[in-house]
Amino acid sequence: MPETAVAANVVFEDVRSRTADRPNVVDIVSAAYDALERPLYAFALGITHSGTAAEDLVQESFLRLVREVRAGRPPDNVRAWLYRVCANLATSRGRRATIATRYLPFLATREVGETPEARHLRLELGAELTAALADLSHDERTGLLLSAGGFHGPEIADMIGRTHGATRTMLTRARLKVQARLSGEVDRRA
Amino acid sequence: MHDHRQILALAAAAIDFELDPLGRSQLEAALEACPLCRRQVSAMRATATILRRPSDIGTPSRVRDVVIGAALRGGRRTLGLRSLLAASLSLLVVLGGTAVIVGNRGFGIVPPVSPPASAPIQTATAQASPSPTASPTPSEAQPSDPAETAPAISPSPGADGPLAVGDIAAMVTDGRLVIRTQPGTGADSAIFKTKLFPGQRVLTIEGPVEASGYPWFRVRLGVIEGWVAAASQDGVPWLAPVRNGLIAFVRAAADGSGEAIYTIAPDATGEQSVLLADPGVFDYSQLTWSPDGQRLAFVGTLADAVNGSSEIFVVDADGSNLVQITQNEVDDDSPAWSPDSTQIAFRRTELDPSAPVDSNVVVIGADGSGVKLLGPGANPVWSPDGQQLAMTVSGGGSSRVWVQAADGGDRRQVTDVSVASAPPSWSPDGQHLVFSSSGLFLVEVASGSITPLTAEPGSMPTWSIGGTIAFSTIGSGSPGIFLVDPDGSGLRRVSGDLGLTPVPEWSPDGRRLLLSDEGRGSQVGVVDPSSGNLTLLTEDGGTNRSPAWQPRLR
Repeated sequence: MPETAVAANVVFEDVRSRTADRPNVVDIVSAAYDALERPLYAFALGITHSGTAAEDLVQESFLRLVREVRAGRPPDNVRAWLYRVCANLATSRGRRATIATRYLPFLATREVGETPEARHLRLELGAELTAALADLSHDERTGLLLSAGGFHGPEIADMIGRTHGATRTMLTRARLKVQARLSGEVDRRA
Repeated sequence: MHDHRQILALAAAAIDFELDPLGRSQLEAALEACPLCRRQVSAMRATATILRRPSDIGTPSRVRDVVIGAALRGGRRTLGLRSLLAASLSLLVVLGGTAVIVGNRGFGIVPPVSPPASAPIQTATAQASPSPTASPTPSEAQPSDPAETAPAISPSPGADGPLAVGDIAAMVTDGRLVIRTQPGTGADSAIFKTKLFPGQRVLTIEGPVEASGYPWFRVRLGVIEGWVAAASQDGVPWLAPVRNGLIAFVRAAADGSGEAIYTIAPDATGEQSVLLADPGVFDYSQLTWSPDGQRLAFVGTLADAVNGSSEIFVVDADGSNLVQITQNEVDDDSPAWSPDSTQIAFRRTELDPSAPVDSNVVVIGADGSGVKLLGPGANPVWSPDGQQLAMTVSGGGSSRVWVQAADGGDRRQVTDVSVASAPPSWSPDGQHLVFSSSGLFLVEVASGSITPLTAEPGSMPTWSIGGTIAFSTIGSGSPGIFLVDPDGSGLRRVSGDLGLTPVPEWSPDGRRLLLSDEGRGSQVGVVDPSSGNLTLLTEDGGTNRSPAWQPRLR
């Protein structure tokens, strides 16, 4: 598991232990947000390739976490839960294209100059890799990014609603597709 | 010979932490033997490494605010009943208390907090009124007394100075102004999706700050707070402070000789002057200034109209260029300017009782061009960005609030709650409407979610850019003007008993309230909500009606 994910769980466990006797929605949600917002945003950005859509997904995922915690059903593994919800919302978004419309006008967008997400995709992934990811199917892209987030095969399979075997095959195919698209050259900085 | 694809599949499984020790051994042996596989797997691992890099960017702080705000709120709707009960109790206490203190004596003032023995009431010492037939006199806005414009919202700016913190500002350029998370145009300053449109108002809360060659102000637009460039790099203003201009109103001469539209300074010290006295028009009513303060629209009837139908007229602020923008044999009224001052929405009512629809909402260019029928409805009100219109639509014996795109599309009912036949009022960010029904209610336009504000009768609500809602309590035992915050808190009375039917209107700078009587027609007054001070602008016993406060943008 990547270091950030480990740190996130540590932070969250710490909050849970501190608030065990008196669950505090704000403490739990803010700790989870501070620890997981950036990786979740990067994950959503990788899936959607849209800063606006990624923000919608992140916000809606955390709003659903608020509801769960308030209802007394805090997930055991918040990180996995958020990624699962975010992935599901992204799938739904593909069908409905309306996530968190109530808050849509308040979200930020970036339309001028080099936007942060453009910078992220250009510098951190590279234009070729970005294009290669865009060529994958939604599930393939989601699976690859979940794997990059430190999730294992069975967890990924559970999140995207496939069998473990099918997921294994899909991930292999996705990696081969990406490499074929890159023609053996990943990134000049790699 | 080995299968390259099988080796790559093993490598993919290894990257995904799914290769057992036997598989790993098999993979390493294959890679040792095959340079091609080694190169391809190396590239695959490099790709995975890149994908695993932690990100250095996140969502804008606004998203965090929304999430943490949701956690803090604890479920707004579950608090609705509590808020309703609290608001109702407060209203009853305030109503009862004021009734005891003031009684029903017409205009009088009880300050909202710590009432003094007698709140100052100024009466206009109107100078000799010109004859209604006098020629129009150019009107000139009078600077307000700084002492009188003590801010109800925030620090007091100079009466005519440049844009300052606490001012309501209007967008005075074409195109769109973006609201950013930080001053400056750098990539780290994200842009809120909500943008400003020409004529739209915001409340300035911080600034100016120089960044990227622009002067920036932090502004509030409903729940949104962000930074907006207030001028171009060349100094051309994009945001202008909205000041108080003159107050126009209709006065019918006591001797029955006619009526005219007058103007007067808000401190009642300026000389009252005739803006318009046209013998060819009578029954002036529903005065409304264009948001840029340059023109005045009103409803009137042509003296030679066959069936007495009302029409809509527009006249320049100096009384010149009177234009009749509707001309037909149906009633046209309830004019409402678009925020950019280029269009007017109004109600068109068929005089034929057998007409299939009671009334329609129509949009027309301010010069009378481009008539566009939106559909059934009345009481049209433009959204702050000018992209939508709210209206009341009657059917089945009651009325509902509807919203329609200004271009005529996307028409929908917002709520099932029956509403009074009075215009709703938009929140500054255009996300909510407040309307009167059995009490005052808020409705979220996107979702139709309803939040009660008051249980007691409240009518003619008007939402200030600063966020406070003013309304009157017509029909209660102690009618007056009240303020309430959008969350139902802070209910307070800002006027004494008003025996008639007061209609409150926020001053252009958002610091005072213009009180009028749309019923019998009597007096026009200005009240400072922070002190309760009332200034009567018109002569007692006169018949003055339909006041409208002119905005001054420069």
